[in-house]
Amino acid sequence: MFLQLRGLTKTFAMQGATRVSALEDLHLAIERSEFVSIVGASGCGKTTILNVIAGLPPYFPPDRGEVWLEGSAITGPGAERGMVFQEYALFPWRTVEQNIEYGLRLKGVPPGERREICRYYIGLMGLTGFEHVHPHQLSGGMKQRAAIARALAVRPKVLLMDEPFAAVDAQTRMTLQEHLGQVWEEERNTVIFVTHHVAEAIFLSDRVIAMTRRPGRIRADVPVRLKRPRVWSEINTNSEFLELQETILRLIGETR
Amino acid sequence: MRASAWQEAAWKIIPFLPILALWQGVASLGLYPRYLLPDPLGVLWAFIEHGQSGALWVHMRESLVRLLLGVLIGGSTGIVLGVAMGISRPVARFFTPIITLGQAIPGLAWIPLAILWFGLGTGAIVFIIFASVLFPVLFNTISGIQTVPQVLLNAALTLGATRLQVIREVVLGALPSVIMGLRIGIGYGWRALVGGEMIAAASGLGFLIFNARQFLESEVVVVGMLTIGVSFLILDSVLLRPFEQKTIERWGVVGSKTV
Ligand SMILES: Nc1ncnc2c1ncn2[C@@H]1O[C@H](COP(=O)(O)OP(=O)(O)OP(=O)(O)O)[C@@H](O)[C@H]1O
Ligand SMILES: [Mg+2]
Repeated sequence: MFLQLRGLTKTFAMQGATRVSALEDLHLAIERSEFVSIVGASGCGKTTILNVIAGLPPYFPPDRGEVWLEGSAITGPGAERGMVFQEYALFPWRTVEQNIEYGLRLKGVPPGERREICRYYIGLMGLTGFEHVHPHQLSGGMKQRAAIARALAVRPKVLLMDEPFAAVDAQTRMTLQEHLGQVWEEERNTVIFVTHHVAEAIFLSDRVIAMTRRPGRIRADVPVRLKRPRVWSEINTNSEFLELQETILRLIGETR
Repeated sequence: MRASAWQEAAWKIIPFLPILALWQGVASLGLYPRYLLPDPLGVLWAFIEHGQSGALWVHMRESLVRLLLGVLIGGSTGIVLGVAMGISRPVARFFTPIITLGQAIPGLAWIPLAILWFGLGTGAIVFIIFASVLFPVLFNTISGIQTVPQVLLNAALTLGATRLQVIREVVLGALPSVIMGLRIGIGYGWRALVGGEMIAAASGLGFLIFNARQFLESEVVVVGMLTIGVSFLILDSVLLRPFEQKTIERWGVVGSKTV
């Protein structure tokens, strides 16, 4: 199996001596080139899962359990596990191009090649013309696309995305979802995509994982077999899609 | 556009006109001796005289060189120590009590020791400027580093950064705050410089005005005071502010938040 979460347990210290349990004995196996979404109520541990996989402080190491990638346990952060953060996390002191180039520079990719790769992803994410602009001059949706381009540019084996579209309006969001779908069909990274938005999860994924409330466990693992490429104008009225949405919403205990 | 720029400039001078008029008026009444209340025209003559003889510029250059030396040494010490404290808990724990006490001691209080250690003159003055610049730079560097969001460092880590490369990002993120610390520090250093030169030097603008008092040359005192004020304003608005503005504007919210 490509990526495996084996019995992840994570608690956090709260005020006083109490601890809050974010994850409890979580197991999950993901295949190469799979697009998997994780949905669940706020606070059920979705961000915790992604950060443990990414190996980031203060989430890694978990209290118990291991993350295995291609046959070995991870020991910390690394460029083969890219992350798109909910807060964009673009470096304000770098232009869009410099942000996207950053990971490539760390990798030691020569400047010419770097520029080329950079140009490709800027085009792919529809940011042409904004290469030399600093992040604060971009709209929320553009920042998010720049952050996605930055993560894609280093060609991570696993791409972790934490509610990347939460901060954009509904219209932009649908455009970005369709766009991400197209990009993924070209890139075929393994993606773990966290969202509150059940429709978004189904639209993008091969599998949707529904979590229980805290402490986070897996409630259901739902395969999505809708044909690709997917566009909202068709999916919206697709009966299979609507049924899936109904099922998952019921599973995670939301009533809309 | 041009017209309003001229207007802006004019309004920086206009408010002084009634003050000047009042001052000249009262001085002309002759109620007070000249050494207590020199008149503006007398001050102007003194300025021309000291300007032409070059004495004023020699003192000014002396002061600016001392400021520069003190700022270089104090600023670089503050940045290096601030970065070390900002990224290492043990270093911060060790130095925090020391610098908390240190910043509570005004730079000028170091004058006696500075004179004993370095003798009268530039060495002692540079030392008290150092002691004045160090702390604001240090504290602003630390707080700048603390306000760099963890998520940016995590982003660098997921892109393959080593610990050293992450530290580089931390320092870059703290830069607007460091520059602000330098601006404040240079202001403190300038005050310490003028005070220090009155006591511990035989040259510089502080010496100039203190010395002129002994000869009851009040015009020269006022010329010196105005030179002190104007040269700092020029230093700040021509050198420091544009530099700060540039990083803040280019980076967006990063710098302006820390004000
Ligand atoms: N850095 C942290 N320090 C302390 N507690 C934390 C930390 N991160 C998460 N927690 C706790 O762990 C639990 C799970 O948090 P997590 O952020 O993983 O939830 P989530 O599913 O991503 O929620 P949301 O959908 O609101 O983003 C929460 O109860 C939270 O309070
Ligand atoms: Mg979250």
